[in-house]
Amino acid sequence: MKILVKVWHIVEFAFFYLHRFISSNIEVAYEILTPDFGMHPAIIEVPVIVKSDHEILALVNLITMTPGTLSLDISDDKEKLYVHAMYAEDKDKFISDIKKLERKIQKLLN
Amino acid sequence: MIKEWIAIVLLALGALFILLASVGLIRLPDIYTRMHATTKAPTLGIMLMLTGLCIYFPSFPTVIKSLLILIFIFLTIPVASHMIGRSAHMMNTKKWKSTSRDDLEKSRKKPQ
Repeated sequence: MKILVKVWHIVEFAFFYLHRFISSNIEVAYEILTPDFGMHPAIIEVPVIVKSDHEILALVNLITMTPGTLSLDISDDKEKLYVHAMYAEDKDKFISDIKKLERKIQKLLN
Repeated sequence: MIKEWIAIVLLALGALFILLASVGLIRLPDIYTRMHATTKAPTLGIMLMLTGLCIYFPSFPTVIKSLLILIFIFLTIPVASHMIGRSAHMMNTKKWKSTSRDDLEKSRKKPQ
């Protein structure tokens, strides 16, 4: 029973992430192909909820693979992540987006 | 017949995304935005190509190998791109003129 729930979580996460991945990839493709740039890049500090090392590795990898975000560095006490974002007009909305991904990873790995 | 056409379309789309990454590498203004283009677009391209392959040769070993390739790519590309971006920031590489804020620079200036 437990295994079934875990498999369901994995499938659900895969579909959620795939949708996000493809839609934002099309956004970046549009940015490259049109003559003027409509982006507002910034490097933003994001607080990290997850504690263990392998959760942080999963989070950083998934953030980097999402187009529009690129993780640059993590502070020494593993509490703040520095993310370069392509579309960062609204800082709070961006941080809540990453928090949503973090909660999903926590559910998946515990 | 239909199977062949689906495979052709998927392979062409994958090649298109990989071409797009190289166009982005030339066009975009600074190193960070270029990293955006060159890490994600090829991954999507490879994903589409592998899907086309799995549709054209629908056997169990093919699907397993494709999944392994995908997992390997998802584990290695982010690590490499993160190291390039981090060292570029440590060397104070020039940022694009409309970059609005830089929290990392502030934290580097403060003595811990």
